[in-house]
Amino acid sequence: MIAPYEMGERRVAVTEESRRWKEAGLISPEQALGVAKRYRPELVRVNLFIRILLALFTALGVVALIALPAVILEVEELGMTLLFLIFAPACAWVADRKLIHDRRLYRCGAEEALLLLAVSFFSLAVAIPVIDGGAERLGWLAAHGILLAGASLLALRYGYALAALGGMVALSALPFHLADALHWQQPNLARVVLFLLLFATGSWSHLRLRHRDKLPRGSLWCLETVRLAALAGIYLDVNLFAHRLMWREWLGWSPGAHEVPWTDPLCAVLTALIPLAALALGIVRRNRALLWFAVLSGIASILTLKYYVHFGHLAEELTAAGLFLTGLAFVLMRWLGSGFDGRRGAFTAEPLLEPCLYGLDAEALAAIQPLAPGTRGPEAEGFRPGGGSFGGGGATGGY
Amino acid sequence: MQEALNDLEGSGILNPSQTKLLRRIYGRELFSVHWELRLLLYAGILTLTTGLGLLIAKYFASIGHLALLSAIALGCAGCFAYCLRRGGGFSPERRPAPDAAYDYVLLLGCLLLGTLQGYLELRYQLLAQYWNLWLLGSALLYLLAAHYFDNRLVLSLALSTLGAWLGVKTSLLGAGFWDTALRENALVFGALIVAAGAIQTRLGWKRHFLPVHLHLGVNVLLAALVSGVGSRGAGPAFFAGLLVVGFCSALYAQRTRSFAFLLYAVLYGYLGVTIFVLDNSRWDIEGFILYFLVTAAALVTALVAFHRRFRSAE
Repeated sequence: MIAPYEMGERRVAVTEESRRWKEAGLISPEQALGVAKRYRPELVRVNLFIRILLALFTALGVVALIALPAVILEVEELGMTLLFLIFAPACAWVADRKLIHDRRLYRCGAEEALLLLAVSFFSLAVAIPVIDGGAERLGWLAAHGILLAGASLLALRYGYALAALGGMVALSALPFHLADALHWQQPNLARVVLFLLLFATGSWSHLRLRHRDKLPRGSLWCLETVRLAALAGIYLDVNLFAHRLMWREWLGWSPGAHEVPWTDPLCAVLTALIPLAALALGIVRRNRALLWFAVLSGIASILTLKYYVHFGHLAEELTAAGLFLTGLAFVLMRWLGSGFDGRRGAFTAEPLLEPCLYGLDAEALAAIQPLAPGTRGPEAEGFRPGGGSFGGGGATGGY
Repeated sequence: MQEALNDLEGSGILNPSQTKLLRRIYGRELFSVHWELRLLLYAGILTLTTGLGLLIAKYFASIGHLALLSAIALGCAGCFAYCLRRGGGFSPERRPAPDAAYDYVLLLGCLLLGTLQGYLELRYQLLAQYWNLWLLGSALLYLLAAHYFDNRLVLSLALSTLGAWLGVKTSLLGAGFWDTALRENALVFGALIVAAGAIQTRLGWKRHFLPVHLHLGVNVLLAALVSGVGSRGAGPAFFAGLLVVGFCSALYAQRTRSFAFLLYAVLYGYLGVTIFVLDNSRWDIEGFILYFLVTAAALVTALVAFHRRFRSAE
């Protein structure tokens, strides 16, 4: 990751965390002010909503800027390639040199949009002449490869989690695109490659995350995104495969006719095992992302149970599943609450500092009130869990 | 984070007991599963009510209507009885939930009430062609429950049911009239919600409900106004209204530092202005591109200036 981010992120993280401490009532407002003064970040950040607007209108402006000469000069394919070849490095240079290194912008929307546009323009600049030369499939495949490489570069260099997610989506689509471009009539092979790719990237990020305390925050988010995307990809693959939804309706191909007999039971078993494995890992590592994945995928597995075990009683299954989930939550809440100091081992059902939504204010989520916390005043001392409100993004004001 | 905690303790900003607790949290010796359990509970209740709905549809012939009605009514009454017993009664201020289950039991009760009403109408057709009044009744009951039990989720359920009633009512007016009537109803609905929230806040009554009113009301208002900008005849009036509401939304965002309202104002406003300009101009393609270029540059500049002035990140 680039030096300004690696050095500056620590201050941003401490400032953001101090707000959560204050909102949970763990420290007083005066103490939070002291932390903010001591760790005032040098990086410039804006509120999440302004960031969205800046990204949107920067992208709109740049697209209009490239469209204007294209329309005035009535350029054809070669002209567009040239325009993209001029604008791609220009966007990257403005974002990296002018906005990030000179102005010290950090997740402000404008520089993120410019970098994403740079990657997109470059992929189009390569794809257009190849497609123009008659090799349409190869052209799109080249564009796909550049998008994948560009997204990975953005994730590694700037720690953009969204770029990491985009990279994982591009990686997942690559085997199918490759099979299509090279006329391989082997859907099973593409699935095997997909599975291996997801398994490899998921395992790699999981191993890297063992040293999470030494990683910069941006890299940590990217790795967490890669791990979750890999897990979600594998889960969706096995789950959708088992009831042939995606394959039949999206790709026009049903695997039933070509599959070996054990594929369906294996997918069914994996659909049950993946949430359990994520739950076990989440508990052992005390990892919130894995726990959320386990809960959500577990619920999805219960709801799609009928595709594997054909009881033929959906109403009864859903009622039983609802009772089971509700009962489980109640039992766990009571069990954790009845432990010494309201906890069992390291686990407590009381809210501590969560959730941290990095700039999203609580009001935007007011409609989901039972899931939203309330704010408490400062606590005296000792372990007095507070109801943390949503954290805000914070940094300097200059732009 | 451990280094920062050492530093903050050493500099005297945090006291030892605070840093000890924070070290335990960041060292994962203390780990909260509060949100995960709430998510589980929420999903469980939604699954359960869906399953119960399907069970009713499947067995209502064999079990008997009275038995089913009694079971749903009993479950609904049980939920409300639990909330009445556990809750502390009405208060104009925010009330903390007495236990983790409270909010969810109330939600379950409200959903069962909706199921009961639907079942009654389906089976006995009590209101026949006036069936949409069930929606109005539900919305009013949910509003009452939201205020009495102090629950923002039920409040948003009430407001959306009220909106659904208006939509259904409009659809019964006839196909030709539908678009205009729906837009007018949406304008009235959005204005009413915003006004109700503002009046409640002014009276010091459930002030914490204001964000729910504003987020829903402002979105409905702006969407209705944008949809009217392109209409014949009344277009300029809708455009003027959009500018006024958008300006108020941006002003509110700046005053309360709730920048989501700035997002609404800018996005809906830009969409409305663009529709208005494109409708009322005879530019060629270069003109349109120039319009997007100039407006995007102007908005980026304005947003940067806004951030500088109000230090939005802090």
